[in-house]
Amino acid sequence: MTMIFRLRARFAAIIVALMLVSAAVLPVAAMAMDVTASTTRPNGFAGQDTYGGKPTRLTWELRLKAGDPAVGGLVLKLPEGTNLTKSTTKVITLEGLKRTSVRSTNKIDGRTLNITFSQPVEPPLNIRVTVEQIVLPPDNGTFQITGTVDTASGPFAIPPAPTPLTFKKMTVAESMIYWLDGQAWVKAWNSVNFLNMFFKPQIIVASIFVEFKGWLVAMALVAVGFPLAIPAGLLLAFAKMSKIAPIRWISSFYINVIRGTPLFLQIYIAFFGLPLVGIQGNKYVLGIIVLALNSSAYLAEIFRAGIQSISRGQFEAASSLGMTYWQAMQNVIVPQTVKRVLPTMTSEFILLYKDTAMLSAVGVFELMMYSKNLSAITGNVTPYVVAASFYLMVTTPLISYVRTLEERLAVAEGGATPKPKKPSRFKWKPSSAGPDTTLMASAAEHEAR
Amino acid sequence: MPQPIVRIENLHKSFGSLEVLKGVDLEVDKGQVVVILGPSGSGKSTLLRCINRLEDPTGGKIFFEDIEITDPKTNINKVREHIGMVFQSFNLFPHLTARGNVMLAQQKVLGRSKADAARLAAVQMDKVGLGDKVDYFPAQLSGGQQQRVAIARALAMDPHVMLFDEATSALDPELVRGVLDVMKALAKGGMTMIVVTHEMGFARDVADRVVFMDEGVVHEQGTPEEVFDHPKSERTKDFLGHIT
Repeated sequence: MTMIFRLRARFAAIIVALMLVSAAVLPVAAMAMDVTASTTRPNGFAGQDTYGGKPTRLTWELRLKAGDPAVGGLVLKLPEGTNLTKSTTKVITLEGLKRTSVRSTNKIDGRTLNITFSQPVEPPLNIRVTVEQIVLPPDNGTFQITGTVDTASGPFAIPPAPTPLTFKKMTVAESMIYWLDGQAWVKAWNSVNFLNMFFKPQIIVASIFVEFKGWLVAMALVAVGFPLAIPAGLLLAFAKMSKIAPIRWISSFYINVIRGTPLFLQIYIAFFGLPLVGIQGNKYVLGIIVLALNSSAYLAEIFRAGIQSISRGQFEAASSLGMTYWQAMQNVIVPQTVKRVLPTMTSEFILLYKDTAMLSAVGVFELMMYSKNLSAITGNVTPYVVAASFYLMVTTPLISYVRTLEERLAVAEGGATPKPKKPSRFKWKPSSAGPDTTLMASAAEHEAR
Repeated sequence: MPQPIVRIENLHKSFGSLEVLKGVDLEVDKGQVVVILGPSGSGKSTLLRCINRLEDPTGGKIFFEDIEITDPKTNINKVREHIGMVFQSFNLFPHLTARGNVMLAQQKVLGRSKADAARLAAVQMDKVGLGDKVDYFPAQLSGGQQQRVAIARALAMDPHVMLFDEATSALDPELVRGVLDVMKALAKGGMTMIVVTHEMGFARDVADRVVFMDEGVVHEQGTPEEVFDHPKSERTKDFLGHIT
C-alpha cells in the first residue's frame, strides 16, 4: 500500500516539473497570433480541388498583434510525403495593406521550411509565405501547417488555421492530363493554334471523361423517349386513317402542329409554359415526354405511309378470308409495314437522338450541355469536337444499318435495281428500296427537318 | 329443284358518276360452275367483288344461302368465311410461307388449332400439287405456283362457293395450265364456282353455264354450246368473233 502511494507522489512531482519547464520554453497563448490564410491553388484540369502528386502553390499568412515580441524567424512543417525539392519560397511582411521591406533567408530541409529574417520584425504585422511548386502527397488527405515562431523570449507554437488544407488523389483523367502536360509532342502539337483550339489532347481526355455522363443521359433520353413514341405514332397513324372524321381531324391537327413547328419551340413551351400553369416536373422526364410527343407525329406519318404502301390487294385478300379490319391489320398489314418502315424509323431514331441536344437550352444535363460548359471553362472548341464524336459513335453505325436495311428490303421486294454507287449530292434520289412514293416523300421531308 | 346458293337481283354499282353495273340478275346453283365472259370494263370483276362485298353495291340485292349480304346488318366477315376468292394478282401474304398463308385465316377466323391448320394446309397444298413447296415464301415461287397457293388458301376455309377473278390473266402462258388444271379438278369435285376469265377453252370445257356481260348488263347466258356455237345477241357474236 505505502509503496503505491509513494510511487504516485513521485509521478505527480515529475508532471509538475515538466509543466513548469514547458511553460518556460513554450509559453503557449502568450502571443496573440492567428493564421489568416492557408490555401492551396486548385491544380486540377477544372474545378476547385487541389490534387496531390502534382505541383501547386501554397499561400499561408500569419497575423501578429501589437504588443507581441519581435519575431526573428519561422519554422513551418508540412505534412509527411510533401515534396519541396523544386519549391521556391517567398516571404513578405505587411503592415495592414502596406508592404514592408524585410529580407529573409528561406531554407528547405526535407518538409521543413526555415525562415530567418535579416533582422527581427516588430508586430503588428502579417507574414505571408508563398511556396511555389509544392507537391502534396498523392493521396486524399487534410493537414494543418504546424511550427513555431522564434522570438527573443523563445519559440511559440503556431495555432492551427480555421480550416485545414485538403488535397485529393488524382483521378484517372487528371493523371492522364498531367502526363500529357509534360509531353514534348503535346507541347509541339498545341503550338499550332488550330490544333490547340480544336484538338487539344488534354481537353480531349477531359472531355471524354466529363461528356461520357452526358452521352449516357442523351442515350437514356432517346432510349426511353423513342419506344414511347412508337405506340403513340401507331395510334396517331390509325386515327388519321379512321373512318370517323373528328378522330381523323384531331390526329391530323396534332401531326400538323408538331411537324409544322420547331422542336426548339415545343421544348420552350413545355419547359417555360407548364410551370406557369402550376405543372412542375422533373426536367428529364419532361424532356423525354417532349421528345416522344414530337417523334410520335413523325412516326405517325411514317407508319401511315407504310401501311398505305401495302397494296390494297393484301387487305382484300385478308378480308375475303373473313378477317376483320383489325385481324387484317395485325396479321397481314402491320407485319409487312414494319419491314418497310424500319429504315425510315431508324432514320427517325437518329434524328431524335441528335435532337436531344436541344434540351441543353433548358438545362437538361445531356451531352451538349456538358460540352457547352466545358468549352466555356476552357475557352476551347475541343469539347464540341469530342461531343461530335460521341454523337457520331452512335449515328454512324445506324446510318450504315439503314443502308443495309434498305438494300435488304430492295431484294425482298423483288425487282430491285442495284443502287447507284455514288448518290447524288444535290438531288435526293429515291432508292429502289422505296416501296412507295408517299413513304419517300415523308422520308425526304424528314431529312430536311 | 336445286337451291340457288347465290342470288343476285337487279344489282347496281356506280363509281361516282360511272355506272358499272346497270341492273344485273344472276342465280348460281349449288355445284354449278358459272363462267362470266365479257370485254374489259364490262363489269364482270365488279360483279364478282360485290358478291363478297369487297365492293358495296349501290342498288339491288345479293343473297348468299338466303342471307341478304347487301343488308348492312349482316356481319359480312362471317359470310366471307364461306366465300373463297382468288385474285388476278394472287395477293399472297409475302411475309408468310406458303404454309403460313394457308394457315393464317384458319387459325384467326375459324379458330382452328395450329396443328389442325398445319395439317389441313398440307392437304390443300397437296391438292394443288405443291405439297413439296409448303416452306417456300411467295417470292420464291413462280406466278402459277403462287396462284395455286392462293387457291389452297381459299380452299382451306372450306368455302361453299369459290370466286375466281381473272385468276390466270397475270400469268405467263406456260403457267396458265397448271392453274386451270387445279380449277378443273375443283369443278369436277363439285365445288360451286363463279369464274371470271378470258380462257374460252376453260369455259367451254368446264362451265355449266356461260354468262356474257357487257356494259354492266348480262346480254346472254346459257350452256357453253348455246353461247359459243349459237349466240343470239349481236354483242356476243361480235365479242366471240374478236376473240376467236
